[in-house]
Amino acid sequence: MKSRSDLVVSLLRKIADAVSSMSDDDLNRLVQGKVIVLTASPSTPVVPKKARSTKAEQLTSDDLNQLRTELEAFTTREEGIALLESRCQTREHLQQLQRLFDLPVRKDDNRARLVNSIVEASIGYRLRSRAVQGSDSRK
Amino acid sequence: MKTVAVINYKGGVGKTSVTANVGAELAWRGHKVLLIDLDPQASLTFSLVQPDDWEKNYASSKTIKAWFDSLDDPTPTLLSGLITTPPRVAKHLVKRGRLDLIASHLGLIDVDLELATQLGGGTMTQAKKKYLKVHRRLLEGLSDLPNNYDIVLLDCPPNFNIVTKNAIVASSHVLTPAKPDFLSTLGIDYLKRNIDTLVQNYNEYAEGIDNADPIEPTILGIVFTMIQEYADQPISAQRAYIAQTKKLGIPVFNAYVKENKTVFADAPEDGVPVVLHAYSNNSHIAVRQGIEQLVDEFKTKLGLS
Repeated sequence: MKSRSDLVVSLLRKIADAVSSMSDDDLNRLVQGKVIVLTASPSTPVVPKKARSTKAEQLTSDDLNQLRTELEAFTTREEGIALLESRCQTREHLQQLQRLFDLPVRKDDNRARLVNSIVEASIGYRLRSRAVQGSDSRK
Repeated sequence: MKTVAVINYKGGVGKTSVTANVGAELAWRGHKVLLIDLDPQASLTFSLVQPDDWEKNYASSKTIKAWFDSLDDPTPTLLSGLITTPPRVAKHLVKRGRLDLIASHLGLIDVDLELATQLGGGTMTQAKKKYLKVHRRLLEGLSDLPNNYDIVLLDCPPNFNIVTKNAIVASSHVLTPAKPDFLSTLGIDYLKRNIDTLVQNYNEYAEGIDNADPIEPTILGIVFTMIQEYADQPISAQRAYIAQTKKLGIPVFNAYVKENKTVFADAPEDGVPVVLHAYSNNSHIAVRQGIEQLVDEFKTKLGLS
């Protein structure tokens, strides 16, 4: 049987977990002493982080160059987004592509921002230029 | 004599700094350079002439506005009569070349409106004639300049109004400073579109009306400015926009102007472009060397011996 101090530690840990997932509004309400209900999901076995995700294989340089070629041939952003969604399963894959395009790689960028930066560097800049110049710049 | 319009539709891209420093470096290397400030903000003018000096000695009759205002007078002012030599720069160019200035005026914005009223006409032929007359003002004015200048740099306002169009028509070449960021690179596209349209319209009207020589300003290229460096190259956020501009087929200078707020912030106040300062600090020297490399490339592209 666990000691009292172990139980207190366990309880505080659960409270900390619950608080960390609360919204700012709920946190404010809690600080102001308003009653809220904290719900805790049934305890789940803790899986060590390293075991939870096995590192996905990196894309090879051939894969990357192939992706680059395809992206640069597209004429719409949607085609690029679809390609990246289907072929880049991890953030690391997208960051590899960012490096290939010599784009700034920011650790805190989420997947959507990563995809957007690659699409803009491969497709978007052409569309912007064409839009501003007009499809026929002589007009 | 080469005539180069320094222009970007987007403001705040370092256009005046490029004009002043390229002009000053060329003069340091022995060339005779004339700067003409066509921007009503008069930033180039106030980089070389103290505003109180300008008000006392330039504003009433010694600016490009006076020239535009007098064009329809019986005895119009000549551009050559407006040339001054800013004394603070001249001190740095003893036994070198020459850096002269035709100053701008804060009221130059009204000139654009005045010129616009001169457009139009009862018939298409009249309208075309007026179009050519209004857009050729500066081209014809420059022909009055003394022959001893190697190069004229026209510092244009960040718009595409009639004064700017006059500068393009009068120029053999166009130089475009730009920051490597999203909005500034959009400005490049817009500028390219407007220059193409202007050249096409002008040449079409000129051919049909008076068989005058067509204009064909050569795009020297984009000079990227305000570059932040890391490991001796632009930071990756800026490299991305530089690469995209190159991929669009627009000529881009390899050299660039480095960002350094310490160097550039007060340079206009002392009236001497940064490239003429004998800095001993490493970061200052790096800025100066960047401008020197830019001028090397500029001279090559321009064919200025």
